[in-house]
Amino acid sequence: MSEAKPDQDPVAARVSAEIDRAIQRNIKGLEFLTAPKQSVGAMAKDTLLRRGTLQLYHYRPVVDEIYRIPVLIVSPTSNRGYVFDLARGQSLVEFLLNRGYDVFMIDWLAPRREESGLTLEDYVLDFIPTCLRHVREETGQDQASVLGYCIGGTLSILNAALFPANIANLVLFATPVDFSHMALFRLWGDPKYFDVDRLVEAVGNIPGEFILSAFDTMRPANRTAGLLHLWTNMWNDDYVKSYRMFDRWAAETLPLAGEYFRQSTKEFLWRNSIMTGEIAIGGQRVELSKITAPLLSIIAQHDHVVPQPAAHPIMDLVGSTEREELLVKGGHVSVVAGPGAVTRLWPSIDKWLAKRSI
Amino acid sequence: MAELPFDPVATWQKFVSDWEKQVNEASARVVGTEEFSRAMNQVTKFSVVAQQQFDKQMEQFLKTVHLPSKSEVAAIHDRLAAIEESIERLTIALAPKHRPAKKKIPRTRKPPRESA
Repeated sequence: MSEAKPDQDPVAARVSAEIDRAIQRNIKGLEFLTAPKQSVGAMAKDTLLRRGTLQLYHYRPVVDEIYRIPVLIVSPTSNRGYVFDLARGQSLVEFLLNRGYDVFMIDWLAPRREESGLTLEDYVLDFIPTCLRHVREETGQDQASVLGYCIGGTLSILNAALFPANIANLVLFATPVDFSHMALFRLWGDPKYFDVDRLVEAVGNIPGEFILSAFDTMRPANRTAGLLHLWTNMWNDDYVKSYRMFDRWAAETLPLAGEYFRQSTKEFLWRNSIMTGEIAIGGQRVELSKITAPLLSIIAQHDHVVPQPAAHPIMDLVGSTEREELLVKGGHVSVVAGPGAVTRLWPSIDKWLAKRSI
Repeated sequence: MAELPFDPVATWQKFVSDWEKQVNEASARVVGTEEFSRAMNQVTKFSVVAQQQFDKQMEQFLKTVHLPSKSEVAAIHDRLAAIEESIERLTIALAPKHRPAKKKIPRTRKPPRESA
């Protein structure tokens, strides 16, 4: 790219730079159109467990001394976990490893047809406890800090209430508990109009496109505006790389197991049963007051998927004496991987978690 | 970098951001109504029924011309995925035997002292 010469007119320099960028846009725009899928995943890891939709990773530590308590990340069932490990400098996993944590992650794969019968019980009573058992075997530690994102956070809460002894700390990102405040989902899923039984019986697993189109309908201009911003910034390799990673992540929205979707719709959207205290998993009533581990709940100010009133009530439901809520700038995705998360949120999480991980 | 009296790029970006905001706000007023919910769910219901009918007829046709149907291909895909998973499980089970023993990292780290 041309640089302004010392004696060059500043306006001429700016015009020259803009012409340069316009040329770069065209060259890089062509590269963009023909580029293969953007690679994701920065940190080395071992797969400890793979069972149908469930995968458990153990990331390789990068420092010589780590905290006693391991960290287990629970990603949302509708999305791949690599949003936590997109690329160097844009990876919560990398950040945590550098700060001395021993990091594990539950990453979901698309459920197969024969897994359409998976229920909330499978996730809360089997998948998460099984992963915590693997973490225990791998580390020799009885407890782990659990970091849950979105519905992964909701599943983590239910698990923590049923098995409180396994949880050292609970960190929640944009985690819904009061579904009465998820106005659009509630309206679109209104039993007056939405026949969830018929849908599940017809399709088995709910296609990822169905989930993605619901998110797109909430903010229909985002995709087009994103492409226009991309074109403007096409000269900027970092911007393009970041766009492609997030675009891939959204495009790889996962299907949901049919029964799990049916049960979640009825329990969460229709009955709002976490808030009413009526939720039962495997016939066992879930009492959130049994969660005594320190709690950090992170809410994004501009989250249109899980607005603050939907996430906030967890603060009053748990029995933890140490509980803190962080309201941060950003939206539903940027809260875990946006520029603000990298510079401000992650250090705050480290500060909160470090003293509780020894 | 020097500021232009009129910066077309900044103006364009602001225009796009404003447009995005306005369209999303206008759309929120539409999609947040009972009528939209009813219409959307009607469309979903109709497309599910239509898809089922189409699948049924297509399956019949493919059977007639001795070609595998979508559900048969999906079944093969599931079997392949199950085989792949079994191989991966074996790989995971065998990995510790073939990998050099993991270095035991002391779990004694303490948080840095907070500056006053």
